[in-house]
Amino acid sequence: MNNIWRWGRYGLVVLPLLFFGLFYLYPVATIFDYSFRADGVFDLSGFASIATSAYYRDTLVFTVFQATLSTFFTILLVLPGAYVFVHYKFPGRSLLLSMSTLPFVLPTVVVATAFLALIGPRGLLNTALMDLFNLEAPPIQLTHTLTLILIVHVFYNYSVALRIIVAYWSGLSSRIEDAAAVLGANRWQMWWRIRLPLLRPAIVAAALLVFIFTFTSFGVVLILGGIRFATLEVQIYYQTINLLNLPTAAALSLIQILIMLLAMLYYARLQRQMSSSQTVVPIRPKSASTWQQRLFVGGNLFVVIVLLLMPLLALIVRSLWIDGQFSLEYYTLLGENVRNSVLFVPPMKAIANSIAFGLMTTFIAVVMGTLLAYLVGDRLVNTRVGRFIDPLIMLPLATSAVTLGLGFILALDEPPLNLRTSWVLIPIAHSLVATPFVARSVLPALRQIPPSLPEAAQVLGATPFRIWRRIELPLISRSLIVGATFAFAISLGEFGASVFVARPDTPTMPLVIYRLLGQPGTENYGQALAMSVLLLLVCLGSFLLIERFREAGVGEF
Amino acid sequence: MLELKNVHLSYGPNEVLKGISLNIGQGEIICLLGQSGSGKTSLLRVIAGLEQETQGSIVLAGERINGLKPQQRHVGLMFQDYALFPHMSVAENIAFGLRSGKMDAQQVRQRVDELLHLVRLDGYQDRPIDQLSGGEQQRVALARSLAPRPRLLMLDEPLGSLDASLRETLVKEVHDIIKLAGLTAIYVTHDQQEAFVIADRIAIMQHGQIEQIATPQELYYRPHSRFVVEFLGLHNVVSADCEAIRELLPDDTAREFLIHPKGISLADEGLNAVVTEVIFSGDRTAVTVEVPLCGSWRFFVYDPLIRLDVGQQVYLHIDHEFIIPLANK
Repeated sequence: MNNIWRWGRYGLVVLPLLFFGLFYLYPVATIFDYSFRADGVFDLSGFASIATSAYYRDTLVFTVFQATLSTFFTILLVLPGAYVFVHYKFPGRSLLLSMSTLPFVLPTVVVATAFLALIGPRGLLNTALMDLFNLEAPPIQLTHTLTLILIVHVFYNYSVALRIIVAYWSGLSSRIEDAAAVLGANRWQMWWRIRLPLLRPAIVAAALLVFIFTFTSFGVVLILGGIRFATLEVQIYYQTINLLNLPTAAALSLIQILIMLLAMLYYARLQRQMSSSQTVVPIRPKSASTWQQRLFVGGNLFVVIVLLLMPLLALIVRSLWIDGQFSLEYYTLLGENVRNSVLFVPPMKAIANSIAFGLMTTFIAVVMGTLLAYLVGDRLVNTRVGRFIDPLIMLPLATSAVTLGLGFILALDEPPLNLRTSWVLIPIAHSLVATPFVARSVLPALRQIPPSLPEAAQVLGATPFRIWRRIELPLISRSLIVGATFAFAISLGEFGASVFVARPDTPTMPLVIYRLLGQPGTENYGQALAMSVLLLLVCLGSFLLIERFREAGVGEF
Repeated sequence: MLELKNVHLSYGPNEVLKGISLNIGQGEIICLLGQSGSGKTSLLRVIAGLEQETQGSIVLAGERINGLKPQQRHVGLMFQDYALFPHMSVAENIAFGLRSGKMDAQQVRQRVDELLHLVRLDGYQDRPIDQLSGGEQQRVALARSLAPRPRLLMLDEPLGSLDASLRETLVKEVHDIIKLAGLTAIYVTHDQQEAFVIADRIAIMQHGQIEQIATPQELYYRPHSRFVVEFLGLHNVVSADCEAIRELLPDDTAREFLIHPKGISLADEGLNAVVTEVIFSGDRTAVTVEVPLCGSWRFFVYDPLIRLDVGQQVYLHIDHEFIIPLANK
């Protein structure tokens, strides 16, 4: 009996490792292999074409350039916002702070569509202005501009950066600023000589995270950037899908993996440094009293609300607003197979697909993520292997979805494992993206269980299974719900990997939205809007569920 | 009842228990007393099966239990942090150990009521754990470990996290509950007052070894070693070659002796000493004197009419019954 249990436990260790080995390490290794020898012979032509071609160099330069600008503008906007959140009390403060999870569950295609609905050529603002001033052409021309890409990147990352900086700032001692003020520091000196140096670790960490996210930006740039702009991610996609130039795609992927790996390692180090700072007298937020303070607080909140909520509201309104009146026509179109459609199936079918894949992903990610959390937390086998596996859970976060998709295409389309024509690649790819979120949710809850609880149960005669069922499972259940919801929402919105591995007859909602957006005609555009709204509602629902169940500090990134 | 023979425990090169041998009789309460890091808790964990001893044998009620898993040992262990299950009610916590056995719901309920009555928490069945005070949590934890009628009850600093006044009343209560249930128990503490109240015998532990095991009286009046003397705060250790009292010393090979405070009294003539410190504490006065060439001693004066001043010359009478030879290191 004891032996069965012990072997069972080792089986539980092997399961997630096998999963990651087969569906993560193997595809990534294949990309490595492919970039050095495409057809069985050593061949650096992939790298050679990148090194010699100004075209690819431009891609790399643009990727770094837009990521740097996005990071700069995000931090610039976040700093005064963080000041307001740390120093002032106002209604909705904690709700707005909790929005930092939103970008993780908000699909890129939905956000892209939302911004098109707000300021695109057929967007609310443009149609309103055209009606108002009797214009022939839309006055706001932002599609396919760097400006739009930057705006959307700031939208995505503002709340994440805000959360990191506010959390760190709130933990600093209020006495420091008091002391500086007593010593006669003016407003300018307070920022340059006190706040910014003190906040440096948090600002660097936030900036690095924003850089990582925008460096690997795919959906936003693909949809909003047009052919003029391509990040590495988008270039990998073009090379693979449009040009079938796999060696170049693999080489580009490899470059990106290495850059991301370095960035992630640096980020993990920063995070460790930040967590060690603990102080005694935290800054206590107070109400804004003077009119200047009210203006400052109000101004920042205006930015937050306009930036975060306007596009989403515009999306909903635009999907219901047809030729000057409200109508559900775009939604009813979803059930029909429009003639000359780019799709093989009615859009409604994609919703069913997405939900089915979402449920499968949730199941796989919850099982794998929980097992990984147990493994990292050294709760499964006490071999202290946790430390070595800990970075492994972060690894898929560092690897972009596009890289994953490419790896799947390269590795899993031929024996020994040929899954290229199978739909199972979709939930598997989604699970790889979602599993770290589950693990990161469960791990803190697991670590919070004092070792004496399972020990007490054991001394009272409980078997290992009963301890898990009656003690541990109830104590991690909230985190499990959070992780499962994350997994579901991520699967529903996942775009980068799906666009590589989905077959034409099993599209997901984001894929359908993307294809519809690429087509002319009001009907296609309308369907894209309607489907984006549906996806948005599911994701907002998931977000609310996560916020309801998540305890302070659970599942932070 | 419980027989430990030469029990060792190591974490890698770090030896935590260095050959513990101990016999505990049926219905006896043994107290493990020592500073933190002396191995008290480790010994409990080895007996409970939560740590695997590197060597030695553990026999409980005639059965060798070395290889058994904790859930097979049928011992009770009350944790220092109580380890109450936060997601269960008081009754569910207490019933946890009963469900593993073969009792029906009615019997379980009855046993829970019985235990709550024993720890004087009648009516607390449905309270959530986080609404209990520290003292109430302590009693629920005690009830939970008593519930499955363990063959041996072990308590790891059960009053450690409570404040002093509460501790004083609870320690007697815990003692009475254990005795009432007729249990054999091992009680770990670092507080000697607690140990004196609760223990039939006290084992002083240091560096993973038992320094001395004896009844509280024997331990206090016949400490074996300098460590025990210092641990109990008895102070007055003199070297065998101390001139002034040489003729009083018993014929013994010991190189150090304890002049027990109980054996020192003021006299009209005798050993010459100078008062260096006087601390009045109500029913008694602690007096420290300097005995030429023999170091400083402390003893107690109980007569409130005697007044002493620092620097004053006094004569001491030493009762040779209270000169105790200490083990040579």
